[in-house]
Amino acid sequence: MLLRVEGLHAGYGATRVLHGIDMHVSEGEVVAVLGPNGAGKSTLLRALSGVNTPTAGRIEVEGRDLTGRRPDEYVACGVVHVPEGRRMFPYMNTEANLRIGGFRRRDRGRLEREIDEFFAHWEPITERRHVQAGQLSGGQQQIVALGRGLMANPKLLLLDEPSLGLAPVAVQRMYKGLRELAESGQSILLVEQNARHALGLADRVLVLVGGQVVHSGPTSEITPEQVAEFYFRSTTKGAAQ
Amino acid sequence: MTDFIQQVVNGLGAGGQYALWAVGYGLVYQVLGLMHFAHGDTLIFATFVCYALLTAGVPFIPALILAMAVGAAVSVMIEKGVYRPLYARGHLFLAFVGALGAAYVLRNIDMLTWGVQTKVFPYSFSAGNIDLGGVTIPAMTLLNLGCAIGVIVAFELFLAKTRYGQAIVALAQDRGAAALMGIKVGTVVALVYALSGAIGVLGSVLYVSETHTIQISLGFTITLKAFIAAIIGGIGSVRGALSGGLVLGVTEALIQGYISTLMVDAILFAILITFLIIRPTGIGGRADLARL
Repeated sequence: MLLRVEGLHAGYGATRVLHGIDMHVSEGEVVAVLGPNGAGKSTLLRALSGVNTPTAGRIEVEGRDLTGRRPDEYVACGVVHVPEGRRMFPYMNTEANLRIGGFRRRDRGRLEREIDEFFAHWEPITERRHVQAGQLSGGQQQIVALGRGLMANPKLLLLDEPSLGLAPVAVQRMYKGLRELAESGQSILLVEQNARHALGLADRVLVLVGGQVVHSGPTSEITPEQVAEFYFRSTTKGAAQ
Repeated sequence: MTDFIQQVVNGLGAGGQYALWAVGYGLVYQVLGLMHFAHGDTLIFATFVCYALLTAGVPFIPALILAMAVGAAVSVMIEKGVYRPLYARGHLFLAFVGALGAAYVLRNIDMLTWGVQTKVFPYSFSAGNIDLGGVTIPAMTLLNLGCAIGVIVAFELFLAKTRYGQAIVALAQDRGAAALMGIKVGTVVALVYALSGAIGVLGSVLYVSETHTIQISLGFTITLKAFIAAIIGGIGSVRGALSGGLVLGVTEALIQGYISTLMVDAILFAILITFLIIRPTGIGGRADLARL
């Protein structure tokens, strides 16, 4: 098993966000985590990359217990987090942003070739190689953020809202790229608010509401409308309290 | 006119030393957002170690290298022992107070070990001069400038071209994202402090071997000059540290030569405050340049 999570609790100080998450991701699988705003999706990814230290529970990567470890140790074990809001190094150029993604790699020559290939493949940034990343459009930055994550040679890629704030055409392009990536066998844990896109990509889906998993199953067994129903129920439950 | 040029030349020599103090100081600020007010006392402590080694008969170059290593080690210890615990709890202001505390502790160690009297620094470079149409260019001035330019060019190349240099740049721009790249933040921060200590000691050893004297009060002078030079040049910018140091050195020499030696500090502070108000990003004046 690539990733196994048991009874995960996490939060920020006194604010508890995740209340006992059980989940897993197998090799080559794409798992989508859906849920409304504030459900704890980003916190889950932050816990799974060592940014946020869990208060209870266990995180295993390929059978190794990584609970409470630092972000660099997660990267060393092949878990790479592409954060929400892209988080470019704005005054470094695009190429340098990609290169720093491969910071831990020893095969530097190979890394350089992969950077070349990435620029050749992703047409919207081909000409933007020496431009400061902060000058790129949102869609271009999201592509660079994805590429920067890939340069670490991840076994498991954690993607936080890759469609957030992008123009529809940029979202289409991003998901086309992610589909190619999934077909090449890349394991992905994808967090999204946009259920329709995520369901089109993922093999399995988890619905997270109020820090708990309220649904888990293959994507074939759920429609975007049913996902929306979960969100809606959580809202009315909240209003009734 | 000759007199004016002479003052500028004198100022450039001192400016090279200031640049070496400012580069590490600015780097620490850029990477951590922290005023490293123990910088000068760390450098003077290490310079006293150099003094002790020379007095004990160690040749100059090994003594200098050892002193630079001590400067690096003490800087890292202050970061790990004082700044990090306070910083980690979100007490940025307390980290600043901690910096002042660390500076006093170092000064007291100097005092207990070497006493409060001004000491004669036992090494000086051969004091040759070059005469250019009435303007005397001391060899020491050329050495100071050469060291400053050499170190700053090397340092810029290190930041731009090497893996760990790029990690420092990334950390300065987004600490959280840098951690997600697999960068060990603690290690890179320690590297920043070590470099700031080692480079600064080179500047302070040049300084004391030019003035032939060493005294404990120099620590505060260094911190102050590093701060002013870093602000003038654009804090955190490596090249800015060079221009800031040189501008500071020349300004100081001109004030001494044409106004009054007693007015130097007052006027420098006025310039510092003016910069902080009108041009906080320094003479370069661009935010992106201020990012290393």
